[in-house]
Amino acid sequence: MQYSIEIRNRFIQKQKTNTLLYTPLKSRGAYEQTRRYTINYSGNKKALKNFVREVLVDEVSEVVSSSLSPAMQNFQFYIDVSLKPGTLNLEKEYILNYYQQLQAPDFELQECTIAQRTYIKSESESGDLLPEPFIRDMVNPVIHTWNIQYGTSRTS
Amino acid sequence: MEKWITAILLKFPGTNCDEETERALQSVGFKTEIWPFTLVEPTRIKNVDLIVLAGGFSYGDYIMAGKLAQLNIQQKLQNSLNEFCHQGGFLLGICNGFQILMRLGLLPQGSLISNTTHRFMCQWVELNNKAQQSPFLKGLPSSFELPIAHAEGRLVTQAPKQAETYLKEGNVTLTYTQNINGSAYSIAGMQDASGQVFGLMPHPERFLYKEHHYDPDWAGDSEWGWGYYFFKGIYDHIEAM
Repeated sequence: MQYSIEIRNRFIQKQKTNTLLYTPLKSRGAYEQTRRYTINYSGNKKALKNFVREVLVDEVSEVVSSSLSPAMQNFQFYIDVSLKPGTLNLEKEYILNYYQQLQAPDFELQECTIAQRTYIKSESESGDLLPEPFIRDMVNPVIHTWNIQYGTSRTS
Repeated sequence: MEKWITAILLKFPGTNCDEETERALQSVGFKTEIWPFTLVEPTRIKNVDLIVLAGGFSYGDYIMAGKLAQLNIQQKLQNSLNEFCHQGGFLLGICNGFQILMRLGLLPQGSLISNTTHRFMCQWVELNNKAQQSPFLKGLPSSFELPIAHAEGRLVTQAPKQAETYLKEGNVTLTYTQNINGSAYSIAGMQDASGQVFGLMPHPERFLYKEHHYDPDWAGDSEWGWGYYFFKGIYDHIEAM
């Protein structure tokens, strides 16, 4: 079975897209980032959900969406960036290590995929933003995999 | 036989301010040890006077700063730490240590998140001393300077007014004179109701000697920086108990 969640910080405001890039773009845009975890598991779903909330979420500052649809609206596109399978992923290692130390967790955590999701929103009248500059500057193709999804606010 | 006042520093993978914090503790008289967290036995903390969580990037700051250290402490030490505080022990968290104490629930509820600048900030700041009765702050003036070095030092609370309550109830120990990171009510340090658990974002161990100050003509003290008086305050307090 698979369980996915997307976590965003409710206090962090959108920022200018040019802060993500080495070469500024003429078109103005904003971005917001979330963390997306996809977990393959077997066993008690409630126990898994409790584990996820305890380990991955800060209840004071973060909000969680477990819907399959994106947590944000009105974006032009988003980019999910993950470490390639086989790359040393310390965040995943620490999560699995913590899981392995639990006594009788009542579920089996089989796989955990972590992605940083960056929503890009155009704020310019001169045209849309394209994903290529963001891929070039945010992704290291040696260690990362990435995925682009376009949203409803795309105009071209 | 001479009774030593002891402080231990818990070291997680990524903790990197433990040695200079140890040096600061030793300079005021503490007998110290640095304990790698994997080797910590819950029973060993019973005979310690002060437990210090030093600055750094525990577990690479993955998920959120201090989150994985919090989980590992909860799993291994939570009951012993509660008992330690109940028996009158002192617990200090500096920077990343403050983030861990906050997540452990040993300080009033809140969270330390990314600065509003979205940048790692490394600079000197001026602080207001809001708790001059605190053992940690009683040797310090009403305002003084310390260095900061953090990316996640902005204190937020579940409800907007909660931080104001902490200020009124004496949980807030330090505030920035200029709100550099967007922290609610400019909060830079907190304590629990007993005053035994104390956390702060600035680094007192980085201003141990007067020569550490950016101004070579700084004349606040002939030998020591304000950080020395921070650690001396808690040492003197424990010694007098």
